[in-house]
Amino acid sequence: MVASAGLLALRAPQLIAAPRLFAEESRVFFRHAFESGLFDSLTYVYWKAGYLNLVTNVATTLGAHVVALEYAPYATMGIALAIQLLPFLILLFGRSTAFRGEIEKGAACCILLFAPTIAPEVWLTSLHSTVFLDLAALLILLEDLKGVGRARRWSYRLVLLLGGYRASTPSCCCRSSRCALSPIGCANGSSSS
Amino acid sequence: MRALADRLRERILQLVIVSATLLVQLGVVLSRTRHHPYRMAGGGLDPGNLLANLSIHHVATPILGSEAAQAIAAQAGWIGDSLLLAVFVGVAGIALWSGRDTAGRPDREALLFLGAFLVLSVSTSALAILGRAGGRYAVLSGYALLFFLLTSDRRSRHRWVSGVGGLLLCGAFVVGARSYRDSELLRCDGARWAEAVASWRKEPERARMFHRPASRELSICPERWTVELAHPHEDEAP
Repeated sequence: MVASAGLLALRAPQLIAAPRLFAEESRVFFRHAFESGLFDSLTYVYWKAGYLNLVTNVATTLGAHVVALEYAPYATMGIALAIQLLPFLILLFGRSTAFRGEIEKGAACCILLFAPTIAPEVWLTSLHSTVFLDLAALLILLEDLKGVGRARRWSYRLVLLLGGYRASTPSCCCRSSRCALSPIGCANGSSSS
Repeated sequence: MRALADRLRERILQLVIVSATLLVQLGVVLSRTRHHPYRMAGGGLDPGNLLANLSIHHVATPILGSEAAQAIAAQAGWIGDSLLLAVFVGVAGIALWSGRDTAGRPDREALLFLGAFLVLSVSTSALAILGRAGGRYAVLSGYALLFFLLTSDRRSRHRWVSGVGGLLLCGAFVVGARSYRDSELLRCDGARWAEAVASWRKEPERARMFHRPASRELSICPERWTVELAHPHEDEAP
C-alpha cells in the first residue's frame, strides 16, 4: 500500500505539495460554493452538465466554507487523493475473487497505476473522482462478501452511495441505463480536456 | 446481475443503494431534459465515429498508449479501425477459450471484466456528444480491458496464450510508465494560488484608489483558465 501510494504521489508530487483548483471544479463548483450557503453548495447541480456531482460539491464546500480561501485547493485535492487511494485499499486489503495472492494483487496495482489510459485531466481533481469511485465499485463487485466485517460492509455501502451521486460514466452493467438516459453524463461532463 | 448471482443479503443491499442513487440522478436529469444544451447531440452514433472511438480509444489506447493509437488512426483510417477490432475479438475469444475450466465453462471473473469493458466502451462511444469518447471517458474501460487480460492470462491452460497475454500487459505497463509524468496538465500546479488570493483580497482597495471596478479573477489550472469570485461585501452600496 505504501509503495502504491508513493508511486501514485510520484506522478505529480507538485500537485500534492501545491494543489490546484482545476477547470470547472473551480470555475463552476467552487465559485458557486463560495458565493452560496452550505446547503446550497452541497446540493448544487450544474445544469449544463445535467447531473448531481456530490463529491465535487462536498470538496468545494469544504474548500469554500471550512478552510481559508488560501487553503481551498488542499481540501479538493485531499478528497480527490483519498478517493484515488480507494481502489488500492479495496484491492490490497479486500478479499477479491478475481485477484488472489500477492503476485496477482501486485499486477493489478500496476494496472491501477500504469494503465496507459489514465488521462492527466482526472489526476487529483475532485471533478473527475468519479472515475476512481466507479473503479472502486467495480472492485467491490468482485469482493467475496461472505463473512465480511461490519466496518468493511459499511465502507463498501458508503463508497457505492457516494459513487452514485456523481458524473455518470457507466461503471458496470447495472448502471448503464443511466447512461442511456443521460448522454451528457457519459461523454461531456466538462470541457476541461 | 451480480446480486442475483450471489443471492447474498449484502449484495442485494448494495444493489438497492446503487438503484436508489440511480433514481435520484434520473430525477435530476429528467427534471431539466428540455433545457439540456446537449440534448440533440448524437455524434457517437455515426458509424465512422463509433468504429474509431471503439478501436482507437477503447481497444488500442489501453495497450499501446494514446500516441501510438492516434498514429494508427491517422495512417490506417476505417480499415485499420476494423482490423484493430477484429484482432481484439480474436484475442478476447482465444483468451476466454484458453481459460475454460475442466467442464468447459469460461472463467467467471474474466467474463465479468470483458462484459464490463463491452458495456463501458460501447455505451460511452455510442452516446458520445460531438462524437468524442477518448481521454477520461476511456479510463474505466481501459482498466476493465487490462483486468480482463490479467485474469484470463493467469487462468490460461496454454502457455502460448499466457505468453501473448503477458507480453501485451507488460507492453501496456511500459507505455504507461513512460508517459506517467509526461503531461502539460500535470505540470500546472497551485504554487501561486496563495499569492493570487492575497492579491485578490487587496483588489477592492486598489480599485477604489484608481476609480475602476474591482477585478474578481483568480488564475487556476489549466493554464489561462480563471475563476471569478465575488469580493466580500461587494454588493453593499459604497
